[in-house]
Amino acid sequence: MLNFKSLLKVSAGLILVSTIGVSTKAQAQSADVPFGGTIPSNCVFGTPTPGILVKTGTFAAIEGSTGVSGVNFGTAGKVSVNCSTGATLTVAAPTAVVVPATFVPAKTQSVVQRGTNTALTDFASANTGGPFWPASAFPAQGITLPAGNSDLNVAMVAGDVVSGSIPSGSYSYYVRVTVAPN
Amino acid sequence: MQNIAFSVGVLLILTSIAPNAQAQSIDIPFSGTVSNSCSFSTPTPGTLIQSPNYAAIESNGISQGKGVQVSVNCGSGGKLTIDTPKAIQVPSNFNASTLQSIVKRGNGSTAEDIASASSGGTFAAVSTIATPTMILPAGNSDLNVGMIAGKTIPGLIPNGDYRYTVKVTIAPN
Repeated sequence: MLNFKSLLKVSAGLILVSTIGVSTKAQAQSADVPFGGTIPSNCVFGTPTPGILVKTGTFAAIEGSTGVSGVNFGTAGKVSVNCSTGATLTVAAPTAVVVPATFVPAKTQSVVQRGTNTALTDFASANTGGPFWPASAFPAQGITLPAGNSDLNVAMVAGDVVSGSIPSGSYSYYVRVTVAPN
Repeated sequence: MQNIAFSVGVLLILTSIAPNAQAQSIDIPFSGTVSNSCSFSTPTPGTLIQSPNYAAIESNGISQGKGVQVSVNCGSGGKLTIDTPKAIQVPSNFNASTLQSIVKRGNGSTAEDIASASSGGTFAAVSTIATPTMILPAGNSDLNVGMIAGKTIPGLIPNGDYRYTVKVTIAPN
């Protein structure tokens, strides 16, 4: 915010600089020069592709995961993120938007995979009620993203690791992915 | 020297004004519909012939493992149960002491993919499997249904019209 006073100060500062340069005996003086502006976030997400939920085979669960290595029911969601510097990615457990009233999942889990990379450090995961998928495959952790573009595959599951049915009806969830630039 | 001090002062100001980069979040939506019902396709009626092995009437192709094709689609899988053949019309002098029906999922390559219901014994050329139930996975299953009725010994059966039905029931999971 540069008001008239500030402009005067800037002018004074500039004059001072030129003056000091030629007059070594002048008193030291200082001037505060204000700067302002909005720094944009260092990461920008693309438009997400929604995932598709289906029943998890014979398990009493609903899942959208095909696209993430090692899991294959329904379809994983996708989103790209471009970070000007490295960043830390975290994922939250799935949040139910609309589910049948009688559907009370014992466990929920989300997984984010960075591209098709399969090192453990390329997976982020969060769960409620304990992991549905093996913790050895998808540890509960974040991902350190490199600078540049990252394609993210996002899987989720809600239910229990037991054979059985789930109520008929519409299911709608979302999985929140957060990146914090370094 | 004073020029340098001034420059340093400006740099410090810059540093203090620049805000930390903001964390960004995005919500990835997921949705789907689960239907626990099962639906059948309309079956094409099968053809009955004199059994080449027994004094029996049998559905054409059953000895070759073929049958009437019907597909079923279960949103979340189900349990199939097959009944023994039920006579609708047979010649009055036809004595069917053994009845057997069979259903295979796909090629029926494993015992889990075969169900058969029988009374009065089984026809060895058809199947010796006696379990009338089968677990169906979620999604589409192509089923082949066959039947045989008569005696488990070689022989001919009376001329005339033969009509049977085989009931297949699926209980959704």
